[in-house]
Amino acid sequence: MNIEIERKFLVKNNSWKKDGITGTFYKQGYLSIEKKRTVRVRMGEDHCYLNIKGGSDEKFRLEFEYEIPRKDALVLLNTICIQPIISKTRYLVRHHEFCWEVDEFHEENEGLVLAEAELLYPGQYLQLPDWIGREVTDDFHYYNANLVVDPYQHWKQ
Amino acid sequence: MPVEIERKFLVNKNDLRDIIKRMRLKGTEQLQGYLCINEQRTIRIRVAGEESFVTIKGKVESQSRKEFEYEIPMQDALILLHASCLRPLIRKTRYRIHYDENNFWEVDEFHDENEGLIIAEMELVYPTQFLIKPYWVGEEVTDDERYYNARLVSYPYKSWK
Repeated sequence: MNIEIERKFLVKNNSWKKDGITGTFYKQGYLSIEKKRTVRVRMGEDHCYLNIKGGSDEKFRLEFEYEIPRKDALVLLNTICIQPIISKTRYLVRHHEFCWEVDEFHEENEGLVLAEAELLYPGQYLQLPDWIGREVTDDFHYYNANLVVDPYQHWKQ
Repeated sequence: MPVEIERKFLVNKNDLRDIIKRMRLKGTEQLQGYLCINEQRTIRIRVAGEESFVTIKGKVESQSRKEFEYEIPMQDALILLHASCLRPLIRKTRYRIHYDENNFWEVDEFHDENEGLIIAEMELVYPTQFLIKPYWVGEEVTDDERYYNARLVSYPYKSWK
């Protein structure tokens, strides 16, 4: 079991995307998007996982993750998960001691880029890179599970 | 891909007590809860004896449904059951009785909010497979949604009367 503490931000510009950086493509879908019990299937390039998050708020959640066979993940994503499926490319960007996960979303969420940092403990000092924009940690619109029911491309600007 | 096909029957309490006594059956305590229950999918956490599982089931389609099951650490299962699953949890004792060389009746005696309910289940290889019912196997309830384990959470047996 993990207790996950993370902060999430919008990205101001592309300066994080240095020449030669490579990302990993993910597809993920949700079996449950209730806040207290979010269940996700994620298919990466090498591994597939079933992920269960419980607990109360977005900053501080119980998290369990189990590797599952790729053939199971495919059936789960295509026939059992809530549609649509989210696809994104994840880049890892180091800034000081933190390794930021920068997600570029595709398809129904094309245009959205989010950066996340995982903290060791609540309130830990986080040095923000200059390409980081507004914090959206507590904004449910940006929860990945919400991007299924209300994708970015449908938002009114 | 695993597909589950099963038939369910009611069992009389006195018959079960009698069988347990004569065969000296030992049951396995099971505790299960649900993270998600709807027509499209259910997600179940189950502790059965020494083992724990997460099980994902798809839509019911003519007695069968897609099923995926993964073993998970007992500690994870207990935390999920107590912190995240929908209330109430389902507690039951499961007995296994040979049907033939390779197949078993799974007989579940429910407790707590579902006390008094006993269900025998047989998993089939194909939907129209012939099944010989022993004397202690009663009325079939395969298609009666009230007896779905997931339904016993929102509408427990004791509240039926």
